[in-house]
Amino acid sequence: MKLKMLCSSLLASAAVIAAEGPNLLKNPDFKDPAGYRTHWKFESMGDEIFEVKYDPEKSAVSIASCSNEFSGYLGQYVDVTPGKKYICRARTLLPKGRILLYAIGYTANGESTGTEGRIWDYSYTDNPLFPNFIPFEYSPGGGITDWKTISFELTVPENITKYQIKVGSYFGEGILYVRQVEFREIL
Amino acid sequence: MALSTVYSLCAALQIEISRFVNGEHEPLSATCGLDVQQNTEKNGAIDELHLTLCNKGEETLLLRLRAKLPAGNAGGSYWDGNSYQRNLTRSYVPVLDRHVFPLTSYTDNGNIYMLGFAPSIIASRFERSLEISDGKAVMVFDIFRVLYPGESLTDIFVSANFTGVSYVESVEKYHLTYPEWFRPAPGVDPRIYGTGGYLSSDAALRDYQYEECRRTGFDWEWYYNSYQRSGDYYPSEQFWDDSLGYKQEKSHAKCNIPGTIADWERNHRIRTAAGDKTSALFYYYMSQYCNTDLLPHFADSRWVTADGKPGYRVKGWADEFWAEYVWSGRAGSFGAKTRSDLAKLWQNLTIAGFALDCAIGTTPYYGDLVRQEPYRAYDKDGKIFVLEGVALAYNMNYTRNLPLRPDGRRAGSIVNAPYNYLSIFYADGEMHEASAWERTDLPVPHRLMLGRKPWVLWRGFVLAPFLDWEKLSPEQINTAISGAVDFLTLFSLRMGASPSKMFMRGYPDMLAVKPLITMLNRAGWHAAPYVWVDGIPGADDPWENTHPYWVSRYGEGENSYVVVSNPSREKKGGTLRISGPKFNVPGAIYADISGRATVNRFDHNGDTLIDFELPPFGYLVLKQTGMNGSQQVTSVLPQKAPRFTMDPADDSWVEALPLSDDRSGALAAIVGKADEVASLDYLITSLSTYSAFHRGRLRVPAPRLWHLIGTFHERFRFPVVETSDAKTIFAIGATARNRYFPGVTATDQIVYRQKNGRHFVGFFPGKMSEAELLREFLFRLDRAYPFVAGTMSDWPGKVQAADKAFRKNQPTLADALVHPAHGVRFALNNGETAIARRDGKLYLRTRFSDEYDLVTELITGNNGQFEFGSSRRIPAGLGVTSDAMLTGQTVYAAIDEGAPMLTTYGNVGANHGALTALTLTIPAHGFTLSDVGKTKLTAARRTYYILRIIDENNILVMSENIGHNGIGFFDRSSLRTEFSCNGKIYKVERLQHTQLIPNLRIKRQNFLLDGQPLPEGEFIKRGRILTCDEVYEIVSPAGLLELVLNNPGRQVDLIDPSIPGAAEITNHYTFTADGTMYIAQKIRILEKTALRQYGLLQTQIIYTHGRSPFREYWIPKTRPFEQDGRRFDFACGVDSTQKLPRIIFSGAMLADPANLPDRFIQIAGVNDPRRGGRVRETGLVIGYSLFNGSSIPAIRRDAAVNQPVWINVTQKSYPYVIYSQGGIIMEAGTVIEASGYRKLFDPSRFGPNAPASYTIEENGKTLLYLHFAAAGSVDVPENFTRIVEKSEGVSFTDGKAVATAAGEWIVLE
Repeated sequence: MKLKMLCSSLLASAAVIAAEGPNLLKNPDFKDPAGYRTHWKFESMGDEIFEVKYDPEKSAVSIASCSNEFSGYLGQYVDVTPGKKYICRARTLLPKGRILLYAIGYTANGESTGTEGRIWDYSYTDNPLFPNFIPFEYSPGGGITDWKTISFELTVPENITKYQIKVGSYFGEGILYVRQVEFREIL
Repeated sequence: MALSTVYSLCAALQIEISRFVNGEHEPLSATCGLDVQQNTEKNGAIDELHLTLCNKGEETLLLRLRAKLPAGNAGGSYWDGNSYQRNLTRSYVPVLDRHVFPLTSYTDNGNIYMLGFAPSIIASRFERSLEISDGKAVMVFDIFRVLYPGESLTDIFVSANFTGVSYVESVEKYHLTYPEWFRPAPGVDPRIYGTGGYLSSDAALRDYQYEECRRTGFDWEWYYNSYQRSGDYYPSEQFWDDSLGYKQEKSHAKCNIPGTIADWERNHRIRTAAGDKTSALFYYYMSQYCNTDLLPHFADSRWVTADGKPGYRVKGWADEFWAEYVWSGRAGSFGAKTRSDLAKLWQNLTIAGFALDCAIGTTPYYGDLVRQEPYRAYDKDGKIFVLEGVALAYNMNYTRNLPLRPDGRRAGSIVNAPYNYLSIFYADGEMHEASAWERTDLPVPHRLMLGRKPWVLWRGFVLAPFLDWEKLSPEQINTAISGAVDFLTLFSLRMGASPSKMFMRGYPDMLAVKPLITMLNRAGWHAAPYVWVDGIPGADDPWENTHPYWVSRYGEGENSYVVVSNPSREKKGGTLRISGPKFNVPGAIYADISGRATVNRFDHNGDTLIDFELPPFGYLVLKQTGMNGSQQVTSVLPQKAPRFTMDPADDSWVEALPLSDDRSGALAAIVGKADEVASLDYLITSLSTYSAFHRGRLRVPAPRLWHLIGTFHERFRFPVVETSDAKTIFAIGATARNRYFPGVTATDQIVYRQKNGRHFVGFFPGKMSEAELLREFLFRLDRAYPFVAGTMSDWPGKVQAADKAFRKNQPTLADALVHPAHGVRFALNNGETAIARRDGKLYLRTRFSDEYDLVTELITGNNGQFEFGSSRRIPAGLGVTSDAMLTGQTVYAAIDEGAPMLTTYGNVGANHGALTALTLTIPAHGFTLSDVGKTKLTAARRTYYILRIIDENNILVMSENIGHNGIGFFDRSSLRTEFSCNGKIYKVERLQHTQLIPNLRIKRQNFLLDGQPLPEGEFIKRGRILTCDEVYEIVSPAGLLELVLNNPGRQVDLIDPSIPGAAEITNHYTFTADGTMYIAQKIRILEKTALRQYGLLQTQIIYTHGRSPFREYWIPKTRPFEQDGRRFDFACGVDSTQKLPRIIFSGAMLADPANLPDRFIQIAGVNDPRRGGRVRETGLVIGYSLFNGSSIPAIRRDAAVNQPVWINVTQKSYPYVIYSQGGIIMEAGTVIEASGYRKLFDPSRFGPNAPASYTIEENGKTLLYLHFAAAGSVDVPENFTRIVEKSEGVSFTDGKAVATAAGEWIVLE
């Protein structure tokens, strides 16, 4: 019988009772003594529009973008087992802009297979539908910016042995905070 | 002349040329060899400075051409070609170099300065900034060039200075000065201004694409990815692989039809010739990608990045293999091959041009071919590159200049995802692959760069992340969705956007506004509206989203329009100020296009003032009707007289026309002489498929037409004939009109007559052609047959999940029956099932027919095991709601559907209990609980034990085990009339054989929907496949007796866990969307027994309705026989309305003892003269798998040879997998497996020739069982290609199954 474990973490508000393995990401809460970016690498197509730093008040890494023009993500690699199912989560705060959390697959010989799983989140601040055309209160969280957990699940295809997990700004002027990222096997 | 600096167009503009050396820009030296020639020209409102540079030296020159324009005082507003900054008091250098117009504008206190370069200039790098120093502003604009020795190049800087309020006035002047860059090239198919999208038809649906286009307002197609390998856009022998072949429309990147180049050509010639009739086709390509295997053939064109690496690679997108970035410009072999292919495509296919995907244009190329590309530049490190956009521009310019088509059309280009001005300036239109609320930074800069060119919003209503779907009420959902529709409408009217087909399909509100949007866009959007609402700030940036009113202006002269809208939920009004003198129309007079009187006032400047009031999200469109107005003018736009009339004028007859019905199919015919009909071309096809398309489209809300393969039923199609007795006749051509409308001499009129219950419609041309009249008639018909369906984006998907309506102003679905046109979006989709729990019961909804779905109750039987419940038909248009699950008409009343097996304990399993006990009625028997399991009763030398004290007069007893050889058996002789106990005689007043119930120990019973457990409590969920895994044990009666005897004086549980099992049954039920209920059963014998009968399935008589119902019973693989004076031929269908006698099928009644009857089919219907007589409504089949378990013919012929099936006088049917009169000894550990199915089906699906025919889903396979009622043929759906088994008199070729006689059958996979 497989062990059922309580997955509790900083993702407290989304605490889930589920059979899950350990978090495969290193330095998932950006609190490594060697620096918040330890094990994480920031990549973008236009570094000049981004400012990435650790915000001790919010206990989170912040990614600020002065334009919609480029996307920029913190990422790290995890080894995975084909055929198994995983869940990827991030605890985020999004005052303005767009967040993307996604996983890029890699074969054993290092070839990318493209995006295998992803989840977006959008703020309402710069969305022209709100509030004139759609009232804020119709949106998740009532249009109030607050911490939330975004997640997706995926089953690893046969040819994939590694994922790059990335979280960051998806072509969105604004600022976002990431407090914790998880990537766990669903047992 | 070699100069270092300062050329002057006018006193203001200065040019500085500097050279990049060692990482710095430095003044030119007199010895560098650069020769500069200049001349100035006035071009309308714009000053041009033409600079011709010639490198006459021996060194490569990296040059920065800097234009500087003093622009008044600091603190003004600056538009950098992309974004707009107000009140700048410090120097400003923009960060972005994408989506930038090569023009800048600075506004200082009513003075506007503009600076940039002419649209004909191709530059790989330009920069702009604003210098502020000593309170003064200077605009700076740089072009970067690289000239090799001997090269020359001309650049044109443009500048102007005028009075005004907004940067958009600079853009407007630029558009007006260079109009050819901001309109599609002359001759480009005008349909480019309409609704674009994917048509994605299919050869199988070619005829239906005309209705698809007409119904969705479709004007042009993004003719998606049709080549085998990137870089071989027109296939060549060198690269073609026959085994890969070509792609059908439904394929993405992967070829799916093996074939030759000739096959590819044929496919696309047919496809483009057909498609061009209704829509302009733009052939898709991505010139920046080359298939990696092909790349060695174009080695000179390999992409090279700044650090010398190859370019971006991608797999399965550009084509099905790896492809990578490549240089496709003027220089190099790949560009040449690309252009050669594009020319062949243009020459050989009926296309309107090309669709360039990912025409980003900003990626820099650093390879050797840079040397041969004149529009190169250098980067911040001095490395020489040329932008991808230069190649895109070159190729678009090439195709634009290909020879015109004979009809005068020019090859146009539509681009997606352009990041660079070159991709936009050289295109004829842009596809914006996003909705209007995504990438909100792009609409304004792109619209400005496009000018009057078409701009298409692509992605459809994707709202999924924005709404809290689960928590919103239906009213709130409607409010939100209506808000999105309103936003898109107002946004389109404001920004000159054209919503794609993805916004139109299924959205009547969008379709309704589409003609207005298209008309305005054709008239031409203006960057500067010169229209504002008095008292509202912000006129300097009219395209800002936050303005309380949205204004826009279109067209010129008599074809000039102004739009004002109210983007809020409150009614609002004001005074609209139209500054006509700004666009050379002083005192312009406008009128509301809706025909309402419009009061125009004028101020002393010649501005027009119009008071307006707008409802929430309302808009007002004004058309210019004159100019030079003064004082006050009231203008009314004359409404056009109708171009045609209807006779009778009250056109309610249109919707009353009988077109088709469920049973008879088409009720209408198109009648005309062949040549006259042919002259109307595809419109006849559109009319012919009208009902078939509408019925099919409503059933399947799929985004692409090819999703509907198999959905359109030809029987609803109106035949095109020269004579017909159909109820409704569409008379086409003069011959048919004269015949059906003698004496009628109408013109421009659609005439309707009714005679003897028949209906006649004729189209009488005049100024309008017959085709135009027919098109108008079809639009009238659409009102009666609305189309609110056919989308599958996240938004409708979410709406579906929430059972909410999505059409603006549509009545909400209150879980009630609605017109399918409205309800279908919430109804079951093809391939879906729905499962609900209500009041503790499970209900399963699956597809039954075009018109009906089936709801089946899933219940638990006597032993707690799964059991089929009754089934009801419900209208397919009902929403997927739990209320809907409770409605409908019963078509099958299930009682005891699970088949037991007959052993020495009697029938056990399913609803049954071991028939091993007797209930003895002995008045005042006097036994108590202490006698249970202890007291012995005897009769005829048998010993009986008391199992239960039922009451004071009844006891339950079981004999001692009298079996032998390890097989349990219990005496239940009904001859016992008295029992003795301890010398006392007990007279038995009544003896009843009694089953021990419960007799099953349920070990597992899991329902999973798509692999997920069902929620607790009440719910309703959509899914694909429902499964039920069930394991139970049949409790051993011998073991039960032993337990009773070991526990005297106690009442034991009949299924106590300690009782050994007699057999373990594992059932795996699979319920698929087509209504198949498939069961795979495995029996493991735990206790030796003798098995006499095992059936897996059994069924009751089918239910009937109506005043004159009938039943039929079909059992293929049987022969005719006579019994009780009646002749029966079950293979051809027996009328079983009159009760059947008990019939045991065996011996000569079987067609082939080696292939026993395995499917047992009943049909119920009514005799209804109004519906053409005998109408078969419901079919019911139970059958055995031909592939799995002991029920397959090869095994069953031996196991059930004596009696494969019998029908009881109760009309219940009992087929057998195993039948043995004497019983087959089954040792413990023996395993029996069998599989079968049960399905209620639509007997009309395959036509009257084969009513007892159906499909079955079995372990991922779809099987078609055809049983013929008469000699004839059945059109077999194209996905059935392999014969599984058949009778001798059936053949199957070319998609047709042909039977020589009734009773023949065939099974196809």
